[in-house]
Amino acid sequence: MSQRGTLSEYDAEFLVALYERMWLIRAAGRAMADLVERGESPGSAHRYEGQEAVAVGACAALEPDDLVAGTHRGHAHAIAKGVDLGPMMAEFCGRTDGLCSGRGGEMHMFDPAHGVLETTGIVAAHLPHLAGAIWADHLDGGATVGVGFFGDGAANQGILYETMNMASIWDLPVVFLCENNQYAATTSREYSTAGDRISDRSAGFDVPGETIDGQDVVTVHETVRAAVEAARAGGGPRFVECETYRYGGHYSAEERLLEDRQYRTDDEIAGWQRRDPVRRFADRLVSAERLTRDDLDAAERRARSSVDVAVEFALASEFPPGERAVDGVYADQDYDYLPAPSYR
Amino acid sequence: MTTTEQSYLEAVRAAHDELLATHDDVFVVGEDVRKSLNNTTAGLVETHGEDRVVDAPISEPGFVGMAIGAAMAGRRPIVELQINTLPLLVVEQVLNHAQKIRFMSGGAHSVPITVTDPSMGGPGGAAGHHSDSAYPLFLNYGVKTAVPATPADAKGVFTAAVLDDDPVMVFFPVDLHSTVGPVPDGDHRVPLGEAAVRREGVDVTVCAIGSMVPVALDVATDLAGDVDVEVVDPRTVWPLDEATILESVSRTGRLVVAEDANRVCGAGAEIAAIAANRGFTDLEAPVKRVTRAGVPISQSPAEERYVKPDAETLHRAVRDVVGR
Repeated sequence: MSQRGTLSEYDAEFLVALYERMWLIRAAGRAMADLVERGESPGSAHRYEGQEAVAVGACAALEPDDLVAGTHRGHAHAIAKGVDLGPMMAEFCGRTDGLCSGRGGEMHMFDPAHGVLETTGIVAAHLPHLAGAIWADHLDGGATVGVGFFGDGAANQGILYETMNMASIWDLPVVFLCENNQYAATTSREYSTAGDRISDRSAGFDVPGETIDGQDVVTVHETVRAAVEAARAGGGPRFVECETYRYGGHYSAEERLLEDRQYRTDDEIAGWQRRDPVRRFADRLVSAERLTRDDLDAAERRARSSVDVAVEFALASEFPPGERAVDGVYADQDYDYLPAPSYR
Repeated sequence: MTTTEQSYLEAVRAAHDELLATHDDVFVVGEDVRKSLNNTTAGLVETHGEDRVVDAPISEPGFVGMAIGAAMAGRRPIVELQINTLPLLVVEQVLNHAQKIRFMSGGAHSVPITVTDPSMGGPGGAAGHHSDSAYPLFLNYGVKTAVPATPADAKGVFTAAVLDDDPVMVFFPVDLHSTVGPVPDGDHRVPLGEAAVRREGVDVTVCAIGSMVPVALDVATDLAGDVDVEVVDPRTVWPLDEATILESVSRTGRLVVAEDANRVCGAGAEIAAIAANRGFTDLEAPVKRVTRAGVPISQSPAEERYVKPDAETLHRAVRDVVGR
């Protein structure tokens, strides 16, 4: 595991922003689960609680023009990258004022304005898209870096290795960031994934890889920052595996669905909660006398309040009419029956 | 507009050259495209540079995915699939991502990729994994799909496909590669979704796709004086110019669809369903389809010939619908 960074090189504004952003994701996730319970969102919620240090630490290392891509838990990466929370929440609820006018929902959020290239429902399938977008910029002489987030489950998809190989032979500035939260739905990483560390796989592609403590936001930030800088300087792709954990299930329906066939023990969950990244960071900030409890409480309140405002925005936004469903598939739909209708 | 007599394959190569010269956002990626194993891009890396003609490792889902990403970032990639079964390998990236991203992103992204299969149908003797006509798979998910049948269309339809802002699959049937015809010079585009009437006739409409177009014209010549065959070439199987096909059927009352692809849920199935719905009152006979049998292609020549559509079967189908 990488060494822990010190806090003295960061100004207080940066540190409180990290903390507030972690709380933003946590509060947003809770609000999303609540919206599902209340029937205000048609889908389910894939919560990120417990993993906040990874998205926030990583995205704090990026410029606004840098790109991120994620999967079904991608709302966290979108928030960490800085999307507007109201439209994100409206997107989650399938409303017209959503980031994708309600079409993508939780698992398919796109916000190019904030460098969120894509979040996808097919784990790992987004990685070549990210690498390809960076490739295009790279061919034009640009210096944009891309960070592709994916889980331990996705680390077994072949397309990750196809992408990593091409990123390596073409020296693309892509950071492959594996959020190893120990489980892919009910299947443990231990069971499904050969090798001691997922990051060991990248060396075979000439891509430096390392595994770090994903529950320490400063460690994540410093590791990803170094990887991003190396990539941007022409060093090619990097692989960073963050050991982390999700307290909730794979998705919100799981609790009821798998009530009588749980795959994790309460002890295990409690063990990880004792190392909660948000609380640990708070304790460290206070004991290093960089911020006070009051500062942190205020940051938490701001985050919760932002989420409240976002939820209000989402619920005030309309659902699109059903007829809109057949628009926007093609660049122009000026043909007689494109797309194919459901009845003629 | 001036034209040049060119083979189909030369027209495909000329189109690549013209596109690369004229549009900075176009680039080609695929296996062995620099040395041009498929003869579609020969010499183009020397003219346009290594950043515009890119050899990829054997990672079809990966490099189609990367082309999708490049397209999302504003480029206009042409992805060449080396072998005619490789569309099967990239179905997920094309149907699930390229085709869906515009919609799911609420229009934030375009995916203007063009994926080519330069050896559709197989040259004969290539057997099970090198003899496919995979285009019907793409229709079900609404992917724009073209099967140009003449050298002029090989250039014109392909050019329109590359300049289209949606994903387009373009299949170049290998049986047509050495056919020769006049090809307009310069910027030649044939809009997608426009059929061509290759031969006018009054007794029966043969809607022929790709390599079946010259077969249909030969059958029409054989039957001239006895049965007067109208040959309609859709050029793109999606979007489909149903208006031209239905207008033809409204005059002839009879329809045979001919395609070198598997029967079930082929383009012919959709065309037949449209005719049975929108052309019902014009039809005087059942709609017949002349297709491949739904089996893998054998290595052995007689077996290969047996399952593929041919002039003899098309001739019989035409006589079946005209009843003489």
